[in-house]
Amino acid sequence: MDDKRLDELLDDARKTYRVPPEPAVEAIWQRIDAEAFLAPGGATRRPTDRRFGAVTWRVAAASLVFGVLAGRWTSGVGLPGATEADPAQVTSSMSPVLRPYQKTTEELLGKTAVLLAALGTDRTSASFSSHVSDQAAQLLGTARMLLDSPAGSEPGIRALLLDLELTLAQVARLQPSRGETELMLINEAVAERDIVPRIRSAVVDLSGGGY
Amino acid sequence: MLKAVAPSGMATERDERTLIAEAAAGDRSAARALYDAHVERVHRIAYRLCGDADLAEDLTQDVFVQLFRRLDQFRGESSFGTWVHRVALTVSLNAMRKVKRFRTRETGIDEALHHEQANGEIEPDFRDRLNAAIDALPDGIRAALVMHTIEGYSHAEIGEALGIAEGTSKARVFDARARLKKTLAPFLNERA
Repeated sequence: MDDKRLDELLDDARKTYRVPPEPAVEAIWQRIDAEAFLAPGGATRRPTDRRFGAVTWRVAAASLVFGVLAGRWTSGVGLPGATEADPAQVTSSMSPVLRPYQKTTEELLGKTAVLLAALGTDRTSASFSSHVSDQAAQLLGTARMLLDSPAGSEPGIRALLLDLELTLAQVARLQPSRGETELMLINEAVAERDIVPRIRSAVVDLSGGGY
Repeated sequence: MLKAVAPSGMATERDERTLIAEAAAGDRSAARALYDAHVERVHRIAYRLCGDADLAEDLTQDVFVQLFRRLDQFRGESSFGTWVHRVALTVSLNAMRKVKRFRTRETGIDEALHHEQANGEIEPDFRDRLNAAIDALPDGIRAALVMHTIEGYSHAEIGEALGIAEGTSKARVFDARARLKKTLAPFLNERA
């Protein structure tokens, strides 16, 4: 198939791909009106689960750190005084494809979890946003590098990396001037996609050789 | 009563600022005017990305509720329309990822082809093939293709909405086209 033929097909797709039905404009407005203006607190009301989410992530991040430390302790890796375990033994059940990327992947997951926990603290000052955005941009680069590497072909880790890519991209463009709205959207997305629990699970799998 | 809305139904830029200020102060008629000006586009974006009528309406509702709750944070650095579309895109993409995990009717293109061939009763229409091939693209790549090729957004607009570089948007559309050509080629050959 050449580009001309594909262009013809895509021209047709403009008219036929998921053509939206007529929206129920009035019904949608009634619901918006009720939720945004008539509900207690009105248009400036904040979602009540937002603060809950922030607390949840801080707990989750703490659990993640604990989980990583526990995993390393039980495998004898990374703790002072511990006998170094044979890496081949520790990762015996890990996919050979992932082994060369294990450390980078663990670092990415750990730093991302800490970053998301920091986001949950609701700080949107210019300096905070700038710092967080810079860090997210660096992590985004690592996530994309892993996605493009052989490790990115592992289905289990790939799905998580794709979600992290989108989340980190959103955080990287965070601007103080519109931080509150952007932060809310990011926080909701992170909660909806269970990103922190999935990071925790992935770290445990990596430490224990689950992949 | 709607006010300050141009005959075309789109609020002018000057009027829109007034409407935003009034809506932020709790004026529901101003909010309604903003809603009327943008609801069609928001709903279209949501439907193009999620492909589900009920979900598209829910997403449209979510987008406007979030916008109206945060109107006082709109600084006017970009146009209100850009802000609306960015929120619509973000909300829709976030919802898609969540919904996809529960949706069973979304199948991969290989599975769809296998089903149709095994069934043998339906001669697959090329349009359906193309639409299924677009549906089967990874989310980020599909979003870029739909926004650019089908909805007509520029790569700069897509870049801002998706939080990616303009060049990345171009690369994703290029990637999408390559994948579509590869997926559809066997069927074209079969037809020939």
